[in-house]
Amino acid sequence: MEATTIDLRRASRQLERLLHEIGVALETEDIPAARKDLEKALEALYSAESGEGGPDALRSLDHALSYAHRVIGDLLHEKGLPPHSPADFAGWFDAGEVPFREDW
Amino acid sequence: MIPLDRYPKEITLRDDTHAILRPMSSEDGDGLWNFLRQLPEIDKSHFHEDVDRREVVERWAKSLDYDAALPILAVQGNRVVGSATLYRNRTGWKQRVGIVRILIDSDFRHKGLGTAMIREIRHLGEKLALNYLLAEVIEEQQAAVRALERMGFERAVVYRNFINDRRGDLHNLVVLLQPMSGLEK
Repeated sequence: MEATTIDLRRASRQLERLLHEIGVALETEDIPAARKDLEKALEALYSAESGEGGPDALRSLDHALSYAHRVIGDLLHEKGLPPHSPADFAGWFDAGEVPFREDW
Repeated sequence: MIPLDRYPKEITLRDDTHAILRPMSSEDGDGLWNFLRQLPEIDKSHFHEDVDRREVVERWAKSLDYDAALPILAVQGNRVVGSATLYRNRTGWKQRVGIVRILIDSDFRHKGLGTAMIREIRHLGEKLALNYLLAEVIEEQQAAVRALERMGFERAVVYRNFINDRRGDLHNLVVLLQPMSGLEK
């Protein structure tokens, strides 16, 4: 997969906004595992932003997004809502496929 | 102190049906028996006792000790559709290690129930201030292995031809670990 510097910067800003919103939602919840995952997502995001770009940055953004998905899943679980579906995410963003799937 | 005030807890599965999560009680002998009967043979391999004997299952239900083994059941109506058990030692060098066993009714797989049960046990592990959760899974149970890995468990080791099923055939055992947040601070 190829991504330009502008792509990476744009993805990084979007993820930063997403993680901020997740952090706000988590403030009123007592879910230690989700807090840990949010910290890891932020670490991965900062790693992407502080590196030299390229595949390493893309990988870090991918990690940040994976942690973010897990936190979203925890929040939905706590509220008794249906699990987050990566397929819906892919459809919304017109992505060809997603590299993960809930199957258990 | 075991944090049980969150139960009963209603969850929604991917097909928009609901299940209730709650600790197993002494009244659950029949439900557990019916649940265990329909499980594939391979899912029953890890039990130390013969779960095809009804009196064994009924004795479990009557001798619950949440400090040693906390079984969380997923139920729909009167039907048990999943179980997640957190085993702990009260003393000794593994007292901060929780052993995880999760079983899902064949009709309720691929609906997110297994993942929901992992989330639940992860939450309990955090609340009980454990250092690690440890899960042992037969390698053929790939959906379970993937779900555990997606929820943050990491493969610690794979033992080749290490365990036998109830027919005596050998299988690989995957051991997965998840560090709890208290350990990393």
